[in-house]
Amino acid sequence: MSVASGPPQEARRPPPGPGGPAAAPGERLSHRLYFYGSGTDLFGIQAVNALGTLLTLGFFHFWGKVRGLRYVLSQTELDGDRFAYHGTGRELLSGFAKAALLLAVPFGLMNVRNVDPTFGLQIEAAILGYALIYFLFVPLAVVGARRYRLSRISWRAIRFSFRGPVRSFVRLFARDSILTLLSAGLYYPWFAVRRHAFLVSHSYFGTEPFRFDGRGQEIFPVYARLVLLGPLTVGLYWFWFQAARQRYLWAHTAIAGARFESAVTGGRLLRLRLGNALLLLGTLGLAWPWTRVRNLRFAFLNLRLRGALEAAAISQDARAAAASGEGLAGLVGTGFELGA
Amino acid sequence: MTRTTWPGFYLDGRQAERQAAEVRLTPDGLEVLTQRGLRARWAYGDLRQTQGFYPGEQVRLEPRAGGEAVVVPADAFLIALRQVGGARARHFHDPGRRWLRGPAAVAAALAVLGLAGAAYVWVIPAAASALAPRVPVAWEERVGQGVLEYLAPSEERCEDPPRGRALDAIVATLAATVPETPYRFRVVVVDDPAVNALAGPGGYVVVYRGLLERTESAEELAGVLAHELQHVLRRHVARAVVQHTSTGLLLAGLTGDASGGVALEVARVLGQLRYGRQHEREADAEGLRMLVAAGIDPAGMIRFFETLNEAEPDDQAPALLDYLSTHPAGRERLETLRGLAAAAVRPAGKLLPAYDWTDVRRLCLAARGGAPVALDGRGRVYLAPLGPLPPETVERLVTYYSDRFGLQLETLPGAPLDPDAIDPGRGQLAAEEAIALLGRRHPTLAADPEAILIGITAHDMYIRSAGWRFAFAYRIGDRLAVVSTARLDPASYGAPPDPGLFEARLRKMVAKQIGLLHLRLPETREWGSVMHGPVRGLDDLDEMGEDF
Repeated sequence: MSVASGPPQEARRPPPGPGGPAAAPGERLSHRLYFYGSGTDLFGIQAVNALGTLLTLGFFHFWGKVRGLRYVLSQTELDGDRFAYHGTGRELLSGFAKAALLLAVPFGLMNVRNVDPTFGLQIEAAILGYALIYFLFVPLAVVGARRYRLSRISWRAIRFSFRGPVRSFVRLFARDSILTLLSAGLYYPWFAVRRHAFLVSHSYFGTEPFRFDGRGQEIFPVYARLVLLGPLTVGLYWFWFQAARQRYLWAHTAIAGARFESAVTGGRLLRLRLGNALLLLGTLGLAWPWTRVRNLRFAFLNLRLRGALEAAAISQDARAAAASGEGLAGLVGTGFELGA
Repeated sequence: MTRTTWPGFYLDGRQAERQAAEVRLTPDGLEVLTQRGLRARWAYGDLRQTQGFYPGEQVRLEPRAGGEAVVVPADAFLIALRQVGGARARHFHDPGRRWLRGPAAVAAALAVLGLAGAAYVWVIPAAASALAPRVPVAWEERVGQGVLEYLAPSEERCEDPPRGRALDAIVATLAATVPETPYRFRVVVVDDPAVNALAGPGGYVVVYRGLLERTESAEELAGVLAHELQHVLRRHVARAVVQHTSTGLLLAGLTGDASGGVALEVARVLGQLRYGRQHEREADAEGLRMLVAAGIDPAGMIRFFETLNEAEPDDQAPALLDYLSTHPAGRERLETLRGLAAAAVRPAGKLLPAYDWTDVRRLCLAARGGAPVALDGRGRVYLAPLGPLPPETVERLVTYYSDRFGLQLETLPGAPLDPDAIDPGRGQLAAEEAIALLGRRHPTLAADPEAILIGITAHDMYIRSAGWRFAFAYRIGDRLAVVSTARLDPASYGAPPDPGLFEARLRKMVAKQIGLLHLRLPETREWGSVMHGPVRGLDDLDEMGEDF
């Protein structure tokens, strides 16, 4: 049903060129991701997912999610090889169950007054509930989900992994949230960068870590411009802000001998989202798979990896990871998006 | 002859580089050879296919034990694989079956729509009906108590035991028709001008003062109470909660959104649209039946709904908006009720013959100890008709102010208009002349410093000293005023006559004069008060409230 829209796989070896000092002869010096999937295929997968979910009163949802992820990753190609997804429905289901049990605690605290209107410490309980969610569960979910997801993705049979300790992230999150509050938001760019640094620098492909060298003070002007220009442009500047932020974050992310580069602009982003919105409105939401494909193609089109990947030097170093973080992230609503 | 040697790549799962390889197909399995020699030999049974299900997608085979993989970037490889491997390779993907995806997707999508639609229309309401009765009454009462605390905090309740007993008697009469019910019904009246009544789970019915004061008889209130009691008896609240949650889950399942935030909101709206209307229809029909069973004339319920309908005419709303509102259209409701009532046997006697309903419905006023504390007026107010005026107009005003505010007004005999007071060119009564006329026709009272005279005329009026085309009212000093009803009736400007609206406007105009002259309240910019000013036209007048 889909037409391959990238170059044929075998003919794409770059001519032997000058290369950098660390590049092997014939090694590519510029890499990009290609997405070969189509909205139609994805729609078919999700239609079957929805049917399965309805017929099984929800259980199939997890296997459906795996089908979707497997398709998206298998249709994503880098340097001639496709990614692969190794998660299973059973893992996601048990992760969800554990997360639901875990969330029952703060949820119960937040809703004490609905269950027992005469309980005295309702407000304190509710505050405790919200605090637990924000300061503990959100960072837990972010780290847990990332760890699980990365561990189930591989390229050329080598798995990704995330090794950031949860405790460090919880501490970072709490401390930086408070600092942001105390500084009336001025500290936020540092918070954002430190969060990103933690998540990126503890991510690994096999034995090779990702590196991030961004700094709060460098990205501060980007946020400042948003605060100043956002209200003036009735919020439209948001797209240019997102683009600038992405460009900065990618430009400071590297792996092995290669560095990322993003060419996203506010105008292109606006056009993408506007197109998506119109598609969704016009089809009452049915066009969602097509918008997802548009987003992926857009992201890949505007992303490059410049330099030598030195794949031969990267070895397998898979790490174990449980799916409860993924479940928690799904319930708490923290997303996991490429390039955002 | 099937090709058995294919170029591909071998991934050893140890290094992130792919090694060019030659894949050889044999009847039992396949062999992978790279520059470094034979790297792997696997039986077909030990291999899984993990990629290669879509056109152009590289075919990827992995041993079940995992770790390594072999990749052949050619669709045709799969065909050859299945041919050479025969029975042993049957578990690999057959590219020839790919065309099934299209029809399968369409079929799945249609099935989803069908199932979801069926669930929304039948399954969810059925499940709610089945589950709701299993909710323990004690729980419902607990929740109901919480709702009651919220809607009717104790300081806002009207408690007047003598009149409250009348309401309790109505409830008892209705409850007697369902002796097996575990609920204990209680009516609470809230001192709020809203025209509304609500049933909370567990048996509490909250009636707002605004609604109570609009009822003309015990039968009318019984109709409202019967409707609300049916909400409790049919456990509509519990059912609504189940329906709401189920619809939310359904939507979350369809959209794959596990956190369900948006789904829950959409579910709430969808639920109100369909299930809310179903519940209202049920409460109407069963309420009417309850009235008949209790020996109460259902005409009261219908008459009261007619009154409510007049207050919010929906004749202009197009059919589509009708559907989108949470209550079945007023007209539709009335027709249904009329049909049901026509088939019923009409009881002979009145409900609560021992009580004077016009007194009972002033329950909140009585609870406050007579007139509201804030309304402390100076002098006596007289309403003086000027020129021809239907006597009921003035009588109704007097009754209204007495019932609503505890104000005792007196009516003076009508006095004819003086033709000199009417401007021949404009055809309008001069307001200044009207006031003078008031003084001439009732000289003693006009001279009495304790008397406040409010003239009411049906003639169109204008104020000479002002530049306006017409006036509703005019005052001189702090004791004399005149109000013209000419422009208050919609019929006067070509719209369909609306007696309810006319009365409301007249009440407000006269009330304002009473407020200014008798109660000495200041004009206010607040829209909710009848003392709102300036009143620049009918729109302002309609927007104003009726309370002081």
